[in-house]
Amino acid sequence: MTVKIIAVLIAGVLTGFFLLEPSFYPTTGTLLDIGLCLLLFFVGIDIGNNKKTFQHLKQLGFKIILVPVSAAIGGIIGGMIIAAILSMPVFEGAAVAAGFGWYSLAPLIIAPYSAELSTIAFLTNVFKEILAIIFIPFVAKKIGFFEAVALGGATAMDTTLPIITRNTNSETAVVAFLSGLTMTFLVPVLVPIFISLLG
Amino acid sequence: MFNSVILYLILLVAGALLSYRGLIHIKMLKRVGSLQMFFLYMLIFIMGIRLGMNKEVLKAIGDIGFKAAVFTVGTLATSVAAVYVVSQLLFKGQERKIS
Repeated sequence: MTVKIIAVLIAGVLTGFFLLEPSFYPTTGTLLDIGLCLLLFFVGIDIGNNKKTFQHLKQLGFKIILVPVSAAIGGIIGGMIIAAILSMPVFEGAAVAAGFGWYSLAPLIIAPYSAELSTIAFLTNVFKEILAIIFIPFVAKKIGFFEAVALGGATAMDTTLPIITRNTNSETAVVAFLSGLTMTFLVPVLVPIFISLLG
Repeated sequence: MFNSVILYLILLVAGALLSYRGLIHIKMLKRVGSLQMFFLYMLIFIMGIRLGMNKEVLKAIGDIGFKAAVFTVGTLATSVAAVYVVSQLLFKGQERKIS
């Protein structure tokens, strides 16, 4: 699946770069929304079709919240370490990491603080979504289902949810949506906090 | 953003309720997998198109591409590692067993 995903992604990039007029850009947004809505409906059908899903989720219980929480803490610590290595203020690294793949929001919050950091956050979160799309099948197979959810970050509730669902099971699909939702709500809370700590 | 969260939730719950209640035809259920794959690849293709058309991304890659790449790989790795540790301690591979 990973190879197919990379091939389709590259074909898309080349098509967008060489073949399409800039005026087509808004149409891609509409197509993306429609495709995403249909996919989410199908993911729902998959979840509902497995009658044991919610029974199993009950067994996991409140511990499910630990998936987004540990993914968030892990990512932020990683961002701070990288910042230290690149001799940047550690909270700049934390702010970049706390975008969780939501590339349209975090850069907007960071922009008034620094244009350069805002661009780093934008590109980092774009890369995160691409790498998540490519590596979710691999991580799900070799490491674990919840680790694949962590890879999706905030996008586990929309763009990467169908990929997680195809490569895991319906319980993980529900965990992924909840995890993505939690991380999505954390972005507008955490990024401003880290920026304010920078003074 | 808030609106799309609600919309996604409604679509997921609608799909789940319909199939839980047995209102999705068996022929349709059999096709859900391949339909998902079709729309999934369409989605990835469109996301690729948007990246290819986005001059902002291309310009930024030249400027700070390396830093962003290091942040991406670093934060994804620690994020996955943190969930791995928590999973080992609390779930012990439970998520696979229940499938």
